Amino acid sequence: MATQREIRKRIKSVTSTRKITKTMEMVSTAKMKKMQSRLQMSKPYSEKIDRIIAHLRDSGVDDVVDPLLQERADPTRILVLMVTGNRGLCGGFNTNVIDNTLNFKNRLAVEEGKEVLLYVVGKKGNSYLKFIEEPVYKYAQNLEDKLSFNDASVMGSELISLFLNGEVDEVYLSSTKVVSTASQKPAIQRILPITPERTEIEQSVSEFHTQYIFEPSPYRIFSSLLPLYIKVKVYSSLLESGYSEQFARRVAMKNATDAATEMVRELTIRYNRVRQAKITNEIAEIVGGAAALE
Amino acid sequence: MSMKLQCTILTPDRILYEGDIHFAVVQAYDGEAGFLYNHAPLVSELGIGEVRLRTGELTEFYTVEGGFVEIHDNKLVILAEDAYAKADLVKDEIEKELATVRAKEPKGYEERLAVSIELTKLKARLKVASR
Repeated sequence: MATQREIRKRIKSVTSTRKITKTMEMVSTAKMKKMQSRLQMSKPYSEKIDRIIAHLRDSGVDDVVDPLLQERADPTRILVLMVTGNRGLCGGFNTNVIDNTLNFKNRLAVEEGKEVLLYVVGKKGNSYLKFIEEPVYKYAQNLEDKLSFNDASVMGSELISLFLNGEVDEVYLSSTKVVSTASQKPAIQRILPITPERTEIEQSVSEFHTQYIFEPSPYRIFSSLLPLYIKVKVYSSLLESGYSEQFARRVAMKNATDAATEMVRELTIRYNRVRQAKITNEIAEIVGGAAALE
Repeated sequence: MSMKLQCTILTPDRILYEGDIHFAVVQAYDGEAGFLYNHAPLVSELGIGEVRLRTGELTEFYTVEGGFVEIHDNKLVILAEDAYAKADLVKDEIEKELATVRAKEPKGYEERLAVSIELTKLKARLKVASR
């Protein structure tokens, strides 16, 4: 059995660990709130863009053959943009995205014989891929809270030019999607070529069917809107991933704090038992000693 | 009946302006476009330049740097790629930036284009800042 001193030492160390995790929890709560407000600020923009695209389609621009919309007959080179965090201690956040991406990659590479390139954002993804010796096509820093739309826009243009040059035939985005404020899931979606999907907004728009005037022309607007659409998509997925990371870290740190609290409680009980046992022992010795003298 | 437009200026990372106005002038791709109450539904591409929002006698100034404008049902939405309010712009800083961009010696078509776009943006900002 551990001595009193050993237990006291452990209590001390667990308490200080608890202090650290508690602080980290508070820090990520603050960061999470910041990310959440940024996420909300960026939402109206992407909704409006979706709306305008819907209106454009409505006015019969559906048949536009923009290179960004064109499916390649036999896609062989595929780029996957994987968004991970820079730091650990956030539960399964990074591993979920990495596993999801690698499964996706293996499926495409093994079953369909395609060449899959990985474009990694975030230190964690990069170091893990290095560790398992997976080739990384390109690595970019995850700017986290310093991220501005400009940075996302640069990345978006890069993806677009890779696609247009014919370097790659398809671009996928693998990141953590915010399903609701309390639930985030890793998800993979194709961003290039753009798949025309009829959203709910679009259907509601069709019902009203207002005839819009387009200046200079629907086609021109469409072709300058699509790159912006991609950039906004990249930007919002980077934001969502940042939010999810902070959320995951908060949960992980909360669990750690709770576990530490429980451990301190158990150790204190054990400490008191040992102390009591020692006292009982001493009394028994004294009583025994006195009895021997009589 | 109040003849006011519901106006919103959005950039990808923030909501710059939200409010009711009487009259808006927006820099479109080929010149300025004005919007009054009961404007026909329209979507137009934006250029780089100034946005003026008039409410009564009061005029507010903003810059837009590309994007789109949509008006529908007296709701005016300006989707800018980047935009600034007059209050965010500091004249001296823009002049300094302008000087550094002017000092650049671009080589090749793409660089020249990038510099000229940057110049137009800075000039628009300067115009708004000195309003």
